[in-house]
Amino acid sequence: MSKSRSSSLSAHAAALSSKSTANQSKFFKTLGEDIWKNKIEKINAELFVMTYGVIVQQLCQDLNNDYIKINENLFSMGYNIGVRLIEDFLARTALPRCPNMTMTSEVISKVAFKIFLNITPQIENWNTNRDSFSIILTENPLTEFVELPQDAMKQLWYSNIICGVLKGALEMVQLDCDVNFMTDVLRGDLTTEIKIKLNKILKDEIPLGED
Amino acid sequence: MPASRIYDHSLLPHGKTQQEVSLSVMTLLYQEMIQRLYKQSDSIEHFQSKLNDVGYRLGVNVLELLNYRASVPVSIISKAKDLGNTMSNSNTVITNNSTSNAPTTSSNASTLSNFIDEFNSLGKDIPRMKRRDLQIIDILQFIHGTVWSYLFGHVSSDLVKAQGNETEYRIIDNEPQWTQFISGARNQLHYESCNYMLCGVIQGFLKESGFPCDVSAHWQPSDEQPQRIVFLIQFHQQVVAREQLRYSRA
Repeated sequence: MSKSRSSSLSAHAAALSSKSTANQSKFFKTLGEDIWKNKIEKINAELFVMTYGVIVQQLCQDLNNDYIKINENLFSMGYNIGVRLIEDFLARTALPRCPNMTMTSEVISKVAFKIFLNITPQIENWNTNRDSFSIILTENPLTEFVELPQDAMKQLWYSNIICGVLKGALEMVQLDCDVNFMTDVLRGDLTTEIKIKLNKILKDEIPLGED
Repeated sequence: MPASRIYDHSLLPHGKTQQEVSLSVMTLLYQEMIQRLYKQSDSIEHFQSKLNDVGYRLGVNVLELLNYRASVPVSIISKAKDLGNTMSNSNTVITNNSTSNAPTTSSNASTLSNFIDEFNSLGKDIPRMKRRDLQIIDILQFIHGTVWSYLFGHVSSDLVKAQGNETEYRIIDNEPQWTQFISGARNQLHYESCNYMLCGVIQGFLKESGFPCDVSAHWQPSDEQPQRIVFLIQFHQQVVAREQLRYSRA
């Protein structure tokens, strides 16, 4: 066990130090697929989707269709999930810290989305500072079976929980980011786009007595 | 792509590979929902009924979806699978169209519109909807077998009729999927309560099929199955009376 862990760690280190982004990208892709195939207990996606659906329905009812509040609620639910999910993620992937946002984005799309939702969204729209990018969800499992009513189409970010999850998970690895939806096919847009912007890197707080 | 197309597309059992997600995500979502409802509730009964309500909606959805899919003729399903695959391919390209050239995009658009026409006529291709089950034992078998397999990938551990009581049945799950990370030994009442979502699913399913009933969850651990949960289904008297009138003479 410890042997396989250390060998996988050295493979990670090799990939991280590799100069070529193409190599890295390929490495994360294989890693994500491998973990999804071998290390993940899976469940019916439609069940998950419908459960999420009834949660949103319930929120709409509780909050009298106040979509702004519903968005906030979904975000905070996601945040709570994210801070826990990162544990699960690190335990399964054993990935070390990413040195820059480019790699963070690769890990998010090719490993994180892959092993939890079995999708690989695309990363686009980098800014010049390379600290802000967009995740394009070409398929979004959460929106199966979903059609928004007219009034909700203007205000509700149906999958806002994903933003919360990303926010919470990134914060746990010291990346303070803004995460928002820009567009959503459910609102009639052509793509579903989530924007992530790095605000600052939080100071590492290591408990006393540990290296 | 207009929003309504997504809706049509999901109704068929399609050929896309995307049909599973990680268990961790599901249980974390479940946990988050429970926490939310728990904070809103002033008593454990209140919490149970709230969770039951959420499950009820899910049960109704499952009933509709499974019946609908069971009514679609096989020929349409296989056709839809091919189309589904084309769809997910063309989808990828269309979102990429900033980089791809114009002819590719337009040919994809025409595939997409064919696809949409196919699905608009879907309703006409269903000759008749599946008949609903009329007898208690049939509908329970359906839950024990088909519904459980659909939800959890296996049939439920057991389906038992209570002795000496016409109205009571039990569905048993040795390893409940949603609550497997919640400890039963620590607080029995809370553990049982967390399973009320599934009670709601069963209740919603049965009630909407014309079998009004009450469902409750009971923790009955054994040595091998510490998480074992029994779902007690109590049909209303009218259901049993109806059944006797309709079937006892035959």
